[in-house]
Amino acid sequence: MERQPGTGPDEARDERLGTDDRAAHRAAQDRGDRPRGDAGEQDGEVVAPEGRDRDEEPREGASQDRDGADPTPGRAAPPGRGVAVTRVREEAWMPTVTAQRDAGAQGSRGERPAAVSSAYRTGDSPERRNAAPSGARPSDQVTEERPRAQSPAEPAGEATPAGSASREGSDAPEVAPSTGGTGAGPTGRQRLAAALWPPRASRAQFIVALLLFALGLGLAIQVRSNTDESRLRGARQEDLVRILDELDSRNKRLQEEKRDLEQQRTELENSSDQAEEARRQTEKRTAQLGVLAGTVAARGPGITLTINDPGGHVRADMLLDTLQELRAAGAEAIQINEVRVVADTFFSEDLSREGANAVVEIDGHRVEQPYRFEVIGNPQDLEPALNIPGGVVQSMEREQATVSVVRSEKIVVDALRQANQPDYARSAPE
Amino acid sequence: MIAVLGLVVGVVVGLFVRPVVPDGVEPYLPIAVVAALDAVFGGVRAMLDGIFDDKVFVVSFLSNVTVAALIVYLGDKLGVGSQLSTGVVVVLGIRIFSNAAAIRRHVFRA
Repeated sequence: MERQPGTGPDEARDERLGTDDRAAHRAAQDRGDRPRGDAGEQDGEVVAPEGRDRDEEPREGASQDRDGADPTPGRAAPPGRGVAVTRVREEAWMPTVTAQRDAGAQGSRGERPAAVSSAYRTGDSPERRNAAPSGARPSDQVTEERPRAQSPAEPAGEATPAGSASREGSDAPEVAPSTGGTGAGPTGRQRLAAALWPPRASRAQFIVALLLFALGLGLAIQVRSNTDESRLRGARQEDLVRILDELDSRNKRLQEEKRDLEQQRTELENSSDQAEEARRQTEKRTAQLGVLAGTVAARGPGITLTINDPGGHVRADMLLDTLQELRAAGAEAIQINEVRVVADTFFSEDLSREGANAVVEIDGHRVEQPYRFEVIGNPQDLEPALNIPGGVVQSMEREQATVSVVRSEKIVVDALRQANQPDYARSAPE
Repeated sequence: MIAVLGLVVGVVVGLFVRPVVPDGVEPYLPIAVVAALDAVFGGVRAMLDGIFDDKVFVVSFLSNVTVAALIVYLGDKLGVGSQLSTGVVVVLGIRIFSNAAAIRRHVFRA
């Protein structure tokens, strides 16, 4: 189907036809249609437009489209290729266009014979298109010339109503395969609306729906697994290693922090322990000192020493000897009758009174017979100390006094003294 | 319309049925999803251009997904998985953007 310009019998008509056809292609390009780019375009690959397109293309949208697309290899397609495709299309379409023009119709799509439509389809199928270049190769030089013939004819085709009519007519088949033959508006917006409503139950729709279902499924799974805690499941090995490293270092930091805090806690506990211990020590010491100073009652094992001296021969000096003997034997708390014996205890007596009238005072308190010593200490030490030959007991018995020493495990020393604040002595740090 | 419904149903099913993805496939799912998105955007653009062909769409969809997953798989085997998947995502992202720009021009004429 080679068409040499100026060789056909009705050259004018041929020329005319070609122009119309090109105009149709122009129209198609207006909407972004590119004769050969269809397949590539769809899979997202911006296919290089044919050389022809670009030559006659001052259109705004299309040129922008192409900016990103230029580096693709499709660009390098031989110039004849695209034109060859166009020619195939022309083959299929010439009858229609002619028929339409003959009928003077405005090319409404519904009028188009079904046979033509299917002819177009086969002509437009990718296999055929791909096959076309080789088959149409001989026409290459012809097609080279076409742009020349085209440029002068272009304005005319654009201007005539017939041109616009055939544009309509030739536009339809471009759209028809994709939109399933329903009316596709010239704008993308209308196409979108038409594609969305009303729904069409075509095979293509179902296949695409299936794929989109798979996509939605994957999308949802992925989104959910990313929001899940189990986001590690999908992670790659090196990501896992990185995460593990981060966790390790974080763990280390936290361990150090924990160690510091534990140390701090131990110190605090120790210091409070020390305070407690000091308090206990102080209490203990207070009790000990209280026993010594006679400010607190005391009890424990010890002896009870009772001296009955009707003759009045037991005087203060003998009582003091007894006390010294007890202290030397380790007595810790001593009470004579109702008087607590402490460090500054003193014995006194009125020397003017003799015999049965003798009066002994301890710390200024008069003590009556019998003298009763409550002594806390080790009984095994205290009793022998008193009973040693020539000791306290024997010397008192020589004075006709009766002395009894009774051991007891439970001696209570409960006579108390007021602790006097010393006037001059002050405690000094050791 | 049915296609859009398919997408919606897919998302809903994915969210509520919680299908279990085999562990071996899991690392490649995100990249496959991005590749499929690229194909879908290309398809929408082609539809707006009036040159949509379901066969081309199906083939491009499947091949996009497969090739993307294969690239990442190969990267994993070579030890440059994360870099390669980043590269794939960048390339697909550029294509998605250019397709989205074309769609935008169609729909908003701007």
